[in-house]
Amino acid sequence: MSSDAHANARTPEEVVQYKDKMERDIYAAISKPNWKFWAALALAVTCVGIGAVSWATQIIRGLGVTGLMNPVGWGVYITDFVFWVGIAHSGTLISAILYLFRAKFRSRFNRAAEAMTIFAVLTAGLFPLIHLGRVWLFYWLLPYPNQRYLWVNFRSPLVWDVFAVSTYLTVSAVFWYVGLIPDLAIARRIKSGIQKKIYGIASLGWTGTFKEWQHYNQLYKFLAALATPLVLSVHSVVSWDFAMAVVYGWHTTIFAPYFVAGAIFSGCAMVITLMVPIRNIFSLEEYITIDDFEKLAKLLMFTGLVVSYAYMIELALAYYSGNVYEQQQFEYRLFGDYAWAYWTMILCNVISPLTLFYRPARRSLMFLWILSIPINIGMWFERFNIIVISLAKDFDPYAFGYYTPSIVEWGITIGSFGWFFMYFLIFTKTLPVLSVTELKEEVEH
Amino acid sequence: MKRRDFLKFVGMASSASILASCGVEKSSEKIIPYLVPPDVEDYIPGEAMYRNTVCTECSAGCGATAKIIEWNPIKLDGQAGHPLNDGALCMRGQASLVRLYHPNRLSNPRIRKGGALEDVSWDEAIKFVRDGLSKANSSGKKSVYLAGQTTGSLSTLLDSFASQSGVERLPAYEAFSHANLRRANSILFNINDIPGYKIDESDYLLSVGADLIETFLNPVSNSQQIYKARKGGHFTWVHVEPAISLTGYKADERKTVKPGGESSLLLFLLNYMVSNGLGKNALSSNLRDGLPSISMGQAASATGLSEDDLNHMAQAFAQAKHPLLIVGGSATSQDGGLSTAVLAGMIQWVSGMIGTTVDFNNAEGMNNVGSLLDIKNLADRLNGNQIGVAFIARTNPLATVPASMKLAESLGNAAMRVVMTDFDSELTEMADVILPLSNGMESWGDVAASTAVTSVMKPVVSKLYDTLSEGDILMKLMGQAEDYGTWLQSQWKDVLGVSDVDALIKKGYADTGYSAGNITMNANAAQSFVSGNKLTGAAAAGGVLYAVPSIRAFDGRSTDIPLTTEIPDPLSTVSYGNYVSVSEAANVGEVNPILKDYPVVSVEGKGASMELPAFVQPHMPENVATIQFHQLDKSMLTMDSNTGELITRVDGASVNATGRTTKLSALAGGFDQQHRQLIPKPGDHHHEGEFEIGQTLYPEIKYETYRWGMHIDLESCTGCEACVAACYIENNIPVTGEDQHLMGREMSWIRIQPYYNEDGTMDSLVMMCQQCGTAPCENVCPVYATYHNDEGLNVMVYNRCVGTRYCHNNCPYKVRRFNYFDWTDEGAWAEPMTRMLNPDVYVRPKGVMEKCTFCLHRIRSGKDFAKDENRDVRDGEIQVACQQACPTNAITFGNLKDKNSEVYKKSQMDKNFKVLELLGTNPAITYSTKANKEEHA
Repeated sequence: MSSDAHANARTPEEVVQYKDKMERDIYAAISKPNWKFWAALALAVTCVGIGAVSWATQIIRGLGVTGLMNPVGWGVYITDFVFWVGIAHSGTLISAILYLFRAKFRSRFNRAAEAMTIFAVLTAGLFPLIHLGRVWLFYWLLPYPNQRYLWVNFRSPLVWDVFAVSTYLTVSAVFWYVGLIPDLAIARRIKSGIQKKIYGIASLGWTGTFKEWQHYNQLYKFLAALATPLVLSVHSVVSWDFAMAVVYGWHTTIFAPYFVAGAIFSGCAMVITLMVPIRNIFSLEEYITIDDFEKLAKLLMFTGLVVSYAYMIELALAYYSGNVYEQQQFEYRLFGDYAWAYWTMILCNVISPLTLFYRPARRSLMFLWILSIPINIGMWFERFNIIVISLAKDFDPYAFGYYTPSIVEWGITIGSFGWFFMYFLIFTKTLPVLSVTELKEEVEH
Repeated sequence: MKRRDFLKFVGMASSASILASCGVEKSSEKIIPYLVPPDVEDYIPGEAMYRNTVCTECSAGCGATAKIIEWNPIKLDGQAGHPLNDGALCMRGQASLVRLYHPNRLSNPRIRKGGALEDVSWDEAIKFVRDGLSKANSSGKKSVYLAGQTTGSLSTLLDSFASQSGVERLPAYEAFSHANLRRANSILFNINDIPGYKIDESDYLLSVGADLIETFLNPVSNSQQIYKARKGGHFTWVHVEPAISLTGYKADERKTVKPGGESSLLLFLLNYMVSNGLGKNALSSNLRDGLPSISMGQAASATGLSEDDLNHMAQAFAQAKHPLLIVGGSATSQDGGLSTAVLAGMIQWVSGMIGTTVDFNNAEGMNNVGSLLDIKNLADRLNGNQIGVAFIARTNPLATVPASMKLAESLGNAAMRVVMTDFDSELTEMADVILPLSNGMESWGDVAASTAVTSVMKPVVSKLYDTLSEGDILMKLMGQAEDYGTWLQSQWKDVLGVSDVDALIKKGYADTGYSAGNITMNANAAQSFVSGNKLTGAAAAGGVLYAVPSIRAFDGRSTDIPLTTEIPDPLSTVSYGNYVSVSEAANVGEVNPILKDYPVVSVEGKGASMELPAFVQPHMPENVATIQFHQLDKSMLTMDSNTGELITRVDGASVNATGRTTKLSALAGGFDQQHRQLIPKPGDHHHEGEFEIGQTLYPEIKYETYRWGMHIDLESCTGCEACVAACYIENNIPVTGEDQHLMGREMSWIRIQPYYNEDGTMDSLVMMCQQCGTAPCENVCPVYATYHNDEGLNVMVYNRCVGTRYCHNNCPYKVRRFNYFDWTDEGAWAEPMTRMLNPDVYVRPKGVMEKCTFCLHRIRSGKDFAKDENRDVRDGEIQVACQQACPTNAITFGNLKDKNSEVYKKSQMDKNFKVLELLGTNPAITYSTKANKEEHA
């Protein structure tokens, strides 16, 4: 921990040198990849292949190749959907909300977190398609004019989803790209040949004049303000897929904040999962410090507590409701056939983040990284529990049933991870993983 | 070439070829069939025709009506107005349509040459059989003809074939031959038959062992009569049984008797009547004195019934004006069953039932049915190499006789085995000649539904395969040029005295009338029986296993029809797989119905053992277990050596846990209501007033002329599953098979849900789409594939469905079914089953949701008829499939907007409830139960 980006005691020459070093260090990643990168990319692409074959099987034979059944009509696919939408969350939280709150540590994570957001939404967006019985008619979910006067049903939360997710994807992508423009201009300056041309086109002729900066900052602030409500709205809308239904375990008013907190929780965990290796591999220790990670860890701890609170409230509401369906639903979650999934979730999401109360744990990157994995798993199970267990035991005892995911569903889930990491790997080799301009600004101030 | 020239040439060439193709070859003119054949008066292309026929799934002879569209029968229903089964058909009868179209049906004659079966023509096959017959005759061996119960003209023809060809006609074989009952009747009344029971004319019905609703004689008729009796008021039905049956649950009172204790109960009742001088007919003093006495205490300990119960039963029975006692099933197919039957006959005599509620004029017509004694006799003769050609028609004794008879081995000794059947079985495997039988719908025929009624049938569909009816085969074997149909029509004229055959066929049955004469009890025979036999036996010690005929397969014959296995058992909800029902006290291990985990038990008895999953049957008495007859290891069966009755009670049977569990496709995820108030019990209404039901954010729906609704009377519902089978066939619902059932993917639109109560009762809840007024499924569909129409139906647009399954998740009744596969691709409609498809109903492709829409196509058609006459649909004009099939009219369908409609009136009753009403779904189906009636009384 010699010098760090927060230090201000530099002479103007030192500042210039430091900025140059920063550019070199960060843009060093954008270079010819070594075999390790290719191996990682090959693994990701293989996973995508597994997912593609699985999906093809499902399209050809029908959804019967999944484990879905009566009464559980939604399973791993919708779980994956909510999981990836959740992952997508903290990107915008870190870049937009923390930007408005002037939280400095966000500049270490925002670029990667936003990239993660976009890739995660791209992944999540596949699942509503994958889970359709007749995916070849997916466009019927979009409101488009047609001579049959057929329109979508705006009462359906699934239609709200279509809008929420596509809006989120658009705004996130624009926000990310706008933030990238000055950095792309740096790349144009540093790189040569075809790369220079590509970065040149992508940087939209950015020259860095005062006027440009003025407009740029206004736009960026505006976009941050626009993205902020989306952080809350997208996952609220996703939660209404469930909360609007009559199924006990779904039908509850706490779902919107509960889901948003869970999303941020899982998103932070995913940022840690991604940034610890990036910092290490690309030798960015100088720019992303332990302090920064500690702040992220605190956010993780806080949202973990919110989520734990939501779990307790759910149980308390069921207990207090006097409603036999709801009570039996939660009893079933705790002690029924799916108890293994419920207690996995509790262990991962409630117990494990408590270790972060211990300061050395928050400051150990190794520990944080290891901890982020069970939290990711736990948050996947949270969605699985809500979706599957609620359906498995709803109203009519005759119709109770147990769902077991099939190999095709796991194949597609693996494929979704491959899909996400494939994009992310390409991102690390083509774009600066830190916001260089923002780091430079910090050096100035 | 110039462009203009090119176009000219192209124009020339194409017009020349079009002109050339307009010509008509002379030969092709002839092959155009009539659009409307001149000899069929009511044929309109695309419209249904209805033809009367007879259900041939069992020998009851129920009148059936085939619905025929484009020359294919697509539905079988009971014939309205038929004296036996007025408009209703049981679940097996409904499903028997599949038998006609089943791809595995035997399609041509085969004979065994050099060890292998080969396809031959009918002429060859007939010649082969006749050669075999003459060879047998010349070698001094007797040829025999064994068939399932044969009545009517076929019986006459069979007799003339037998006498002409020197073939011995054996007594017919039925696994459930009721030999003890018939023997008792022949001892007491000199009639080797089973009388008709006039349940509808009785005011107190005591049934002992007889599974009236499931398989006893004619369950449809029984159910209808019980329904009628109940509607008339002043009717009490007490069912006494040693195990658990659907019949028991549907009786007003179910009493559990110790296995073998039935005779003690009857002796007690008889003594009670005789000693108190009750009843209409007195016994002779000799007989009275010879009757062993039995005290209340003795009776109580022998039957396991409380003294109160006995007292109450005896008094109620004696006080009834028109009592009826029906004994049968497990009560008579056990050791000492004859005594039980004789005692029952004596009670029937003493109480004056004979001639009133017990009607020998309208008897079953089973006098030419044999018993296992005849089979034993046949086996002995076979073993003695005395048999030449063995004809076996319409029955498969190998599947039902006790294994100890070794009938299959014996049958190997026949010089030739000629099997007439429609499906392959262990019998056809050893056959020398297989003569495929036409389906009843492809054949001429008549069946004596009772001694007083003969149902007649004429082919309603042209033959699918190279098959013949049994009558035609016999005609051919006799060398007659005439076909069976022609002969039959002359028979009808001669024997039935019918002048207009067409009118007879249209009517579907002939009242032949029959008088058994004035019946009195043969007191001497009764007395010699009483003095010569032990009337009551001790109750069985240790474990007892009952093999019970199944409501879905009867003696096993209906397992040829996949649909009967697809539809679950109404008590256990098991569809596929063998299982044994055991008591909770047997402690065989944990059951998890949600996981479909059932303990594997080993069942041992009579030196044989079976390993199979156990269904823990609520309320099953300790030490008693039941298994469906066709699933039993036949080594455990025995025969009553005196009467030849099949003994289905396996004494000394033990059920032992193996510690293992297995998956069993029991469709229910739970067997009690778990305090969920689906069927509210008295005192369950504690939520009343706390919620305002029916509030909605959406504008109130206005119904113009119609709001279709339904009322289901759970008190009348017998849980017989006929509606389920009807729905499957009406709506082209695919059979998905065991693997899919284990995954929870049955496709039934309507189902019977058993809920067991702690007080020893069971409720069958008929569950189907409730057509909610504010349906949770509708607002979640993103594409409006399911929406509420202006007639109150929750309709499903299959073409618009993209398959999000959100509607299914959000349906609290879980009545929506998703097409996980293209079931056609999966073989659900293997050719020629496609001919069975109802053209009015879309066959759903993979990836779409489906469900009940109150037979929307029938509503459409009814409205069209009404529109032609410029009026609204009349009440009762439209019948939905489940309603039509119901033998007890438990289902009423109609227009709730019409204040005079039956369904509206029924929907306004105090005892009604709606399922999960608290959710505010506002279903269009109302239910009523007995429990609620009592509450409001």
